[in-house]
Amino acid sequence: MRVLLFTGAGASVELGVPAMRSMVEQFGDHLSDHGIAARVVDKLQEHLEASDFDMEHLIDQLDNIESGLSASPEWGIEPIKSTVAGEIGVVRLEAEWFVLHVCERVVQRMARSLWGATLRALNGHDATIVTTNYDRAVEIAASHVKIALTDGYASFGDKEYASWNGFGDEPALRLVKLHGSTDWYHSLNGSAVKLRHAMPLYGTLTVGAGQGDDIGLTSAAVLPSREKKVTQAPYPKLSFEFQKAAAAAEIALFVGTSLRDPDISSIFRECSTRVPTVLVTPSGVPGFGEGEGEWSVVKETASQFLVSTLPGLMRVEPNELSKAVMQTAASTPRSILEWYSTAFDVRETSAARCQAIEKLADAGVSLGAADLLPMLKDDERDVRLFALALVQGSLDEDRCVNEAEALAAAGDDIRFSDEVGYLKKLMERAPVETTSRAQQ
Amino acid sequence: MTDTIPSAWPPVFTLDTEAVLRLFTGDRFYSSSDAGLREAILNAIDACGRRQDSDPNHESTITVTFDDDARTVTVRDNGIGMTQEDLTNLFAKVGASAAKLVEQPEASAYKSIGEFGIGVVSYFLMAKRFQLHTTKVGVGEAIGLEFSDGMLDGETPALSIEGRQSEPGTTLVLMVRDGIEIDFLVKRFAHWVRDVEGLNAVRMPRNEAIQQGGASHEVKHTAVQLPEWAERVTVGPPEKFEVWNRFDGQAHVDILYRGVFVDRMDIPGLWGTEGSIDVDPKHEAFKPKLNREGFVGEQLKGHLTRFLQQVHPQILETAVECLRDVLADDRTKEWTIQRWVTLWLAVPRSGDYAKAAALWDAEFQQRNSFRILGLESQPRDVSVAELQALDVEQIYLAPLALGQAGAIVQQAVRVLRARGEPVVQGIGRESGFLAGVASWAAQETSELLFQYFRESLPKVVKVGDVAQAIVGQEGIAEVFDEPPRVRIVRLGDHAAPIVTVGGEIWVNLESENGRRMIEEVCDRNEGHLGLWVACLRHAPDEVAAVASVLRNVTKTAVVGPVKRRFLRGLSR
Repeated sequence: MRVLLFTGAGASVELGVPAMRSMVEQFGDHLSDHGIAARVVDKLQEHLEASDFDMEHLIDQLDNIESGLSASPEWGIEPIKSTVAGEIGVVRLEAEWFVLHVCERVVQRMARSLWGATLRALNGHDATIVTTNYDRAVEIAASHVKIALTDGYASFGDKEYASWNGFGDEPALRLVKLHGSTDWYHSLNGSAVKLRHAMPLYGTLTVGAGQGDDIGLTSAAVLPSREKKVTQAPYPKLSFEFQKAAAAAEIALFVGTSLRDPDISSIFRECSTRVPTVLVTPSGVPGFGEGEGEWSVVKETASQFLVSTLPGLMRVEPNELSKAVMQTAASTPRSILEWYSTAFDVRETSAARCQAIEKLADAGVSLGAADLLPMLKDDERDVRLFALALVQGSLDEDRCVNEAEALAAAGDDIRFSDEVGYLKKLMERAPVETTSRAQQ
Repeated sequence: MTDTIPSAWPPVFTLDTEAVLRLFTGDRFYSSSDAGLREAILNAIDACGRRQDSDPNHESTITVTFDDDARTVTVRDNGIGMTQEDLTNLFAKVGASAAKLVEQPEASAYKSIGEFGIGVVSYFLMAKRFQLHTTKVGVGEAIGLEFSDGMLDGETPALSIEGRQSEPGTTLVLMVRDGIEIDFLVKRFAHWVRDVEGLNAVRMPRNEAIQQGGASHEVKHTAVQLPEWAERVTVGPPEKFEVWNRFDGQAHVDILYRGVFVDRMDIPGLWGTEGSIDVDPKHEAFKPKLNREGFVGEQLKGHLTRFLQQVHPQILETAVECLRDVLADDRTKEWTIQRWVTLWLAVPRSGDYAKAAALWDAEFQQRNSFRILGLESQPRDVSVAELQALDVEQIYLAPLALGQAGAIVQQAVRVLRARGEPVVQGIGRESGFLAGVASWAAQETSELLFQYFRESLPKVVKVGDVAQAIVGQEGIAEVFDEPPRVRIVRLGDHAAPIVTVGGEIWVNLESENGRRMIEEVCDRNEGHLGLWVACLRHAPDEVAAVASVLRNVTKTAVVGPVKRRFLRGLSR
């Protein structure tokens, strides 16, 4: 199946990457904490108090001021001697660094928790994940679940960096980062480079072995601003890839985006006229007005959708997708990421994991066999017991039940056997479940 | 009282003041005029008895004549008669005992029926005047005396008149007082004179024969051994429907002396017994004593009770058949099965009653004395024979008052009925009928079934003995893996939300508070502590009982999430 999955900032919020407003507030705190550009900070505070000023606004305005300041001598305008003016440049560079720094703080455990199930579900399909996020959550998760993902860059081999390669035509799992990534850079000659170990940069970094082959790098990320520069490589190709994927998709899923960006909303609308199109938003309300096309709104958080609902949709035939989406039970939007992460983290205590597992079960999260079977065989007795709570309504329910029965028969854990017995009673009692078992 | 023989003739009453006062001051025995009639007849019987003592072949004859025209009552006997001396002694002191004052050459064992001195005075209750004509056997002198109530002053002698008694014996002619109706005396005659041998009564001028009263109730004769202190015994179950229909469970026996009614004894517990007993006045065991209640002293009561207790088993043996005859078809309709059952339950079973019990059991083999629940859709009445014919392995006995039996027993019955098991209830006694029967009598027929018919029935089990096990088997789930056991069961929506049963705790799913408790236990998942908290909130009345079961709990029994989901599902 050809799948388009678009994720916006909302998908990374649960990973701790702040949304734009929150980000600018944190940035202000950062500047204050480090005594940077005090006067700019004051102005920033004024803006924050007066309006819904966010990071995009800030960078926009900083860019405009810088442009103005740099252009003024050409017009015969004397450079402005102003402390604030001097600080603007510093703040601009700091902002750039800050955005990437914050995105790079994504915890590996959380990243793979958020994306692992979706990547497994998309694996084998001709799927394109398109995102405007800078963080490497998808890449980290893909590496953890050992699923090949192509982002347009060549593999590192034994080097620290990789060059842009472009996407091939073969069906694959593609990641299209429309606004770049924390590990993307431009070299001084403008070529796109990805580093194995990402470094959020303050301005330009020159690296080299001191033998004349120095490389100067600047971040290739397209910073949040009202007008994003998408003309430099590899962005045009990325944009094209997005269009291509949208045109070919048999299902289009939009997660964690308000669709304010006109380019994104345009593609959304276009998809909605042709294929089952789903918008996932915790508020349940799309952030744009009426228009042509039909789409479904799933009122879930990104974690609920990516961990549980999407994997279920991927098992449905394309012509059944609309119906499947309609049947997705209304759930209470809440982030399940922490629970999911805790449930599978063997470094956590058994009690914490069991509690997290039960919360996942109560939230109606549907996991696949890839998640559940290892949990049913976990080293911790109580974790094995609690894992049974996720079996009913799981994506591979029959297989998991059979496995649970086999384990009960083979083991000597009476409580486990007892619990399997109750599971079977519940399943005999339950009507045909929908894809989500979320409780009201 | 002295032994002197006064020489005055005609005799004068020497009054025992106290005795006379008793006579005339509203004593219930003597306040009625017919007391005199009774005394006269008893004296006649006494006189005939004395004559038979010396002449065993003598045939006694007593004639009582009620004369409406002459307004007289005449009592004539062919007894021993009296001499002047006898008369003088007899009337010398009111209250004297003839047996004490009159010497009997043969030292006869005969004792007069009572201390009849006062009895003579009692004639004045009936008559203003009376004449006594008497001739003693072997003496030949006919004596006539007329007495008037003026003699009660203790000074006025009797009037000597021409004696008209030509043959041995005595004739007493009582001139009935004004205002006393002969009709009343005739009616009372039948009350007092029940079965006196050789006595005839007639009413003039129509020459109408007056019947003796006979037994209070006719009985089906039961052959019993005569006790040594009795001359005749006629006892058995009553033959009248009315008697059975309002039976109070007591034995009702007339005490007679030589056919004259003395008193009636009602003895509790010896139901089915009616009849009469003629006490032998000669017997040494007790001394009949004239008193306000009649002649029955405590000693006699004791003998009589023991005797009736002895023969009661035989009477009950007869009663089965008698009752069946008494209740002809159209009468049977008036009798509910409960009434029949009340009798059956009142039959003692041990020792001498074994034969009677067997006869009654046989009678009830075919009577629908039980109710069966469960085997069919509707309860119906069944007999022992039908129960014996059931092709089942086991019969369960449920208490009659099932509604008061406790939630677990009630639920056990429901479970058994749902399973189609035969649950049998007995039929209880009819309240008020046979009231006063001894407390040992069973209250309902299932007790009989359990004790006496078990051998011939499929295995009989009391529901109360197995209720816990039955309900426990129907238990829906066990909440914890660790003890004490906490089960979810169905006990009915009116039962308590939680009960303690033999060291276990049962939570009632059919109670709203029970369901709330289950939810709370699951939500808390704190093991027995969570149950305790839930009990405090939703079943405060049961806290003490639950606490006693939980007091030794030290470990938290955590319940897995799937099980908790299952349990929550039960409660919703």
